[in-house]
Amino acid sequence: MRNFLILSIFLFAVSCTEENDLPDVQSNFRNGIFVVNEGNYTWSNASISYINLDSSYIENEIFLKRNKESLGDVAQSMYIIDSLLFIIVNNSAKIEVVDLYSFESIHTILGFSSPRFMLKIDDNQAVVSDLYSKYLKIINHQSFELIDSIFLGKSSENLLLHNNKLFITNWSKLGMSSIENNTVQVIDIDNFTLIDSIEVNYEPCGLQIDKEENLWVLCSGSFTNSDKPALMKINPLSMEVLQKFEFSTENSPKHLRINRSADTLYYLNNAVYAISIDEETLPITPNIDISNHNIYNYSISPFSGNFYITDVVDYVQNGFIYEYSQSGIPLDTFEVKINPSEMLFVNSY
Amino acid sequence: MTNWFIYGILFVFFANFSFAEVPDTIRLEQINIVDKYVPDHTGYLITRIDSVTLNAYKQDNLSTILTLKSPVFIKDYGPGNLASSSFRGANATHTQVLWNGISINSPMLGQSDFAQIPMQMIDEVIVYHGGATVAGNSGAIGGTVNIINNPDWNKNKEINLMQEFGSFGKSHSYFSGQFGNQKIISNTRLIYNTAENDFTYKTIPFEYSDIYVQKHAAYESLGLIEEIYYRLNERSQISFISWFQETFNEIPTTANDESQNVNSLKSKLNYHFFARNWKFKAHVAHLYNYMNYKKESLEINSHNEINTIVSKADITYKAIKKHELNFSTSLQLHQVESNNYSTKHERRELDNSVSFKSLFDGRFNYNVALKNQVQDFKSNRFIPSIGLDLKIFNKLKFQASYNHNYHFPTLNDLYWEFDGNSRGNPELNPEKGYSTEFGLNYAGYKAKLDYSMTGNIFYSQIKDWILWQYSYDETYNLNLWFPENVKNVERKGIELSLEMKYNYNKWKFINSNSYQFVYAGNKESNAENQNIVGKQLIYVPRNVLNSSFTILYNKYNLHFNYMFIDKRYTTTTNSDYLAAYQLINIKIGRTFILNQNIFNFQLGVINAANQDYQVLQGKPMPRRMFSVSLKYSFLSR
Repeated sequence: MRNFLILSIFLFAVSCTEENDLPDVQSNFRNGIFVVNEGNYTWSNASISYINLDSSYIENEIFLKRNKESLGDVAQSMYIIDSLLFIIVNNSAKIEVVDLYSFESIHTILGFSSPRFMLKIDDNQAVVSDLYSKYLKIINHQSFELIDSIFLGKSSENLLLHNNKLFITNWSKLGMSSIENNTVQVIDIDNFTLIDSIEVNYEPCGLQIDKEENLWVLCSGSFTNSDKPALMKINPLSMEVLQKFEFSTENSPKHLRINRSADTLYYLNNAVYAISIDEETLPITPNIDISNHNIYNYSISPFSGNFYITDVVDYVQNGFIYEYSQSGIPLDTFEVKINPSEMLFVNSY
Repeated sequence: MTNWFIYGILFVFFANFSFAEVPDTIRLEQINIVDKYVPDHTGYLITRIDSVTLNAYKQDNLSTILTLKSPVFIKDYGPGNLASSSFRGANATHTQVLWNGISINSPMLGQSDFAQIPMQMIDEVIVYHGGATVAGNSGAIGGTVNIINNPDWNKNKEINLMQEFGSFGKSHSYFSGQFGNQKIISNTRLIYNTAENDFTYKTIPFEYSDIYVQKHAAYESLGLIEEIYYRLNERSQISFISWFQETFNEIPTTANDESQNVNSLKSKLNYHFFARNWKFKAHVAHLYNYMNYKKESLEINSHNEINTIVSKADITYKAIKKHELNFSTSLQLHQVESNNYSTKHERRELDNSVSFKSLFDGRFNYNVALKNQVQDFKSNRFIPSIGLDLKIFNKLKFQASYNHNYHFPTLNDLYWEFDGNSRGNPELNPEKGYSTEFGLNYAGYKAKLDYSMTGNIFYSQIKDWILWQYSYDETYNLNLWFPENVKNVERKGIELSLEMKYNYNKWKFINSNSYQFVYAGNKESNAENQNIVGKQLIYVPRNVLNSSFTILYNKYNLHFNYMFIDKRYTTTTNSDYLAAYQLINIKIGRTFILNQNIFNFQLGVINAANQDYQVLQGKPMPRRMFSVSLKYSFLSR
């Protein structure tokens, strides 16, 4: 009797496995938004969601469903080049390349430390910024090889290309305590040499070009009282600072974005604020005020001009995206996965 | 490794050495049935880890024993890495770990790392469920794990040597030597562990995963303990114990550049005096802990040094017939130096308690205690507790208890230095609440079968539960990580256990089973986050089942352990979870005896069913592992 009991428990243990049939991907990616969900740091639960704007249908865990493996740890950003999607997975130190139509994994690019953002430079090359490395990485986005590293001496964050010059913000001083994180470096794309370093306020975290070809830099300020956050207008040819709007130190503005007509800038500072490029002072009232939610990031659709604002609630549950019109009217709410951050808009009509 | 294992099995069963056998000195372990009810803990449930299990798992650490044999759920970051506890749904800071009656939870973190406690350094483990006051220490919100060193006065001289080899480069070496007589004993133990720890694992989703090899997870540890017990006369005893432990771990991450080094020295001097109507105990202890954590790519080199002095006096007096009155006072001084704090920090805690308990032989026993805690001359708390036992029929007992709980914020909670991303909060209040439990126990002995069944229900509510969250901080006008008293947590559940021991000629069968159901969830939440109310806390499994069988026959022994851990949610809204898993461990061994020399050969399989699982999201756990060990003992009485 005892033996039977032991044996049956053993057999039960060995034969009982969870049924884990992964459903197939439903969506076609013709008109919608890819949402990059960061997941929780070291939990390897980053994921991609897709909001189908035609049907308002939301699909989660697309990479997992199509490729039968989890995306990785902390997905940071996502880009389209030709008909391929490049997903930067920051704490897995890799870039996943997937097919835009099927979302099948084509390639995994390794060789990074803590990759953050990417920018296509030409038909073959793209640059990748890195939080924990003093080098900027260059990849070939056709062959998926890591082809070069450019020594910056500082960590790199945002990337912007204008007139054959690559502008890079040195946002973080993490791990490089002797380095000052108050510069925007300039690289000549023709020969990949560092040609200039513009001094700005601390923690430059956003770069945009307006319709008059002026460069705007948003600095969120360091946590010491003397380093004020600022929005700065810079001439990208002479590298001169033309205008500086300083915030008082209790502010922490982030995520500088620009509208389709490139005449209005936006930033997140506990609410979404708008400032026209002709403005003389910083705005007082926000464009979109959602102070009772835990707002993490936002994006502006290049197609409709609508705002999509992410709410991470308590960081350990599904996040939400609130859709607002340009004039600040709430339109819709979408529930996605954990810690939604960046977005990629697709419209193939 | 599999070939070695097969040869080993053959060896165990078929080896026949021509030693002269001495029939009457076969040293089989004393089997003690787990006795749940001890007069000291009237009304409270305890689990005493039996000596058979303690012996079978000597080469492991405390997290293994607790996982296999207690309702404490161990959150395991992987072999060699941190193992923290969750007891009845509470978190790691709510489990108190006592070493010979002294709290060894870190004043900085408020918790203990169970992976740093090797079983060779311990003689006894008793787990106190819920808020029972233990040895004058404040009842912890989740429960208390008491690890104890006991002298064995029956041995004049004993030498033990043990060597174990296991999968993935694991090696465990152990030496102990006890010398003495009826007046004085000295016991020395030395332990050295190392492992490459390059185990194989799969990632989620397991059924589609490749097999990976764990990297940068090697560890090494060294331990030394010296105990001296001296009987001054038949009424009094003095003892000294000192335990040094050093561990070095590589921490596996994407960058593989993190490592941790921990040194600790715990020393205690103890005096006992017994008289006819009263007992007096006093001890003074010094605990030293140094931790260094490094992450090279970020130039992080974090040092923490903690010095603690504890002194305590305890008097028990048989005030009136069949009653005992106990007074206890204890002073703890912590001094912490850390490069994560702006200055040195100190914490002073004075605990006084008085308890009154009955010692009736018959139907009814009760225990009432009141404790007063003063922290840093500021917080002054009175913590009551009451328990009772009632014999209903011959073999059936009822027990019930009620107590208040307080848990002070840890030093990290209070004083973590503002670094731009996080800060401590000196304004934090203690977590406070109450717990209650009641249950039945049915135990007896019939026709060579010893049995004991227990059913227990518990309920607890804790307010001002401290939670670190990232939100807008008015002090610095920034978004930061900082702790606040936010949660109101309710925990309730059922604990069932069944133990049986059966003797038949030269055979001994022991079976013990325990099942626990826990609901732990938020009772309230702020307006923007109502979706979490009533949901299970993350990483608290609802159902946990432990089952073990031991068979002893002549010189052979077989241990079989089965464990079922239910799914654990990874979101506060319970939308995502980690799958339930089952683990099976098997050990088989044989003893060879030659005069006073005893050889013990043992083979083990851990995770025999090769189950893929994760205890914590994203942390790989090993698949099947083997071990082989040889122990030599020399004993003279």
